[in-house]
Amino acid sequence: MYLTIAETQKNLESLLDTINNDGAISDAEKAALVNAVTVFTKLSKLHVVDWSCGFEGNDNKVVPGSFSEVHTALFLSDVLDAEEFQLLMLSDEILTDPRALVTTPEKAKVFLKSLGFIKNPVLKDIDSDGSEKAAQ
Amino acid sequence: MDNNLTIKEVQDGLEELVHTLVDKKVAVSESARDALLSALTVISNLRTLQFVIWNACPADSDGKPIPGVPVDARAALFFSNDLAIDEFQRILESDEIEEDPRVILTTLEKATAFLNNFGFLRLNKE
Repeated sequence: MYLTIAETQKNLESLLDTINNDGAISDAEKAALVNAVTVFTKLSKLHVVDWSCGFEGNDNKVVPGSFSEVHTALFLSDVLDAEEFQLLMLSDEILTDPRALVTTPEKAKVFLKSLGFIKNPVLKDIDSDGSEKAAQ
Repeated sequence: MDNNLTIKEVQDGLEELVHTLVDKKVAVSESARDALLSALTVISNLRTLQFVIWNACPADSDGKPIPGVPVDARAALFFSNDLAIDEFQRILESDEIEEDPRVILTTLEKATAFLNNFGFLRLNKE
């Protein structure tokens, strides 16, 4: 039973509709479900973006053969749209922007997997043990 | 209805809901049941998310803080179910923390903004 964020969000909303008028369910239980839906709605907007940084020469061109370091950012699209993120990514601003957590691809995967999202769309190639799935 | 519960309150409420659905024999679909259990797993995992702040103080060759050098406040997010506090303290004081895949190093401002965006404005209440 591994659902994606989107699947969980959709099914929780359906469950909320089902129990909303059910007298057997307390207000506290309904409130917990409403809050859970809110969290999953936020999580469904969480994006993981990878990019590489090459060392640049004096003319701002990437130096051939220079070590290219891969960075990853976790950010929420409802507070930072993709176009704005692209602009931030190309500048040093992303390192200080409070809306983007900059880390490494490996750390981002471990972080999201620890949340319980093995089937997260951004991690769909991650196996249940956290390793990369072999190409089909 | 309170729409601003803490992680613990959401977890407790969802666990009660599971029991109520079973005890009262409320008819729900299999997919809804799976989603509820999945949500409980994620919320439970979120409760183990630790947010640690420490001051990285530049040291001289003897390992002693350099007088007058500003202290660099840093923050880390990590899951305590994968990493015990004692173990975290140990790697915190070594260079290993930069490489440890279980720890995301960031700033206090970024960690706070990130967690707030999850919808847990009352995280600190726990």
